[in-house]
Amino acid sequence: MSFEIVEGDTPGRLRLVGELDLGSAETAEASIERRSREVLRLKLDLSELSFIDSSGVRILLRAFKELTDRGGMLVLEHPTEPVQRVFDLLGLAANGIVINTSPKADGGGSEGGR
Amino acid sequence: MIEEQRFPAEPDQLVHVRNFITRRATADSFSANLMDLLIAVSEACANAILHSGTREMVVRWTPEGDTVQITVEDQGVFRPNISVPELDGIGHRGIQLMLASMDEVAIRQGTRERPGTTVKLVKRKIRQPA
Repeated sequence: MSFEIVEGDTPGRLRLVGELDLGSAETAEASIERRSREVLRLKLDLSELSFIDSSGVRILLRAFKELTDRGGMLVLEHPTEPVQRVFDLLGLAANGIVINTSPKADGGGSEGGR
Repeated sequence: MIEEQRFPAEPDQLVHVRNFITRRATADSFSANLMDLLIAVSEACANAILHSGTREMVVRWTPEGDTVQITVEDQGVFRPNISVPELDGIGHRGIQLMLASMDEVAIRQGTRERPGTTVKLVKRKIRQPA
């Protein structure tokens, strides 16, 4: 399985699909970093991200810093169990990153913004 | 069953390392530990790829009763990665993740005179919920 980033319905949404590790970090970093400079509120849908390693977490933390330095925020949505496990082991939630663990509404993520 | 596999020390090999561990863990009923095993082995191999200068990594799976020992061996020189907060902001979390996910972590460091770093990871079996 590989990794890809899928555009969401707005510039502030990206969907991460596959496994984010050292092998896919370069691709991921380029687009997440660019996007985190373009918007103030970035939502990353992690419901189809099946694995993340420390190089992936590092990309998320950089985006978090880029956004919060400008008064914005990063929201990580619907992490899968293995990804949430890494977040827990690193105490990510304690850093101020918003992790929305509510189950994803069915229909493939096109729900607007309730 | 003890099994070892060799992998080129390239970032795109990490997914194959994890596939190997997934296969062994499933066969030897360590499935309940799988998430933690994948996290730790992936970090150990990523460190070898990034920091040791090795060309190859050997991953060995050794189940012993209720525990499994996984070793990652390279032929490189161990360079402890020191994070530079000003550049990085967050540091390297690989070793932290290994420690948090495993019951035991030991690193035998390869030196210039005697290259070859071995990372030993030990995990006790979690009983599968019935």
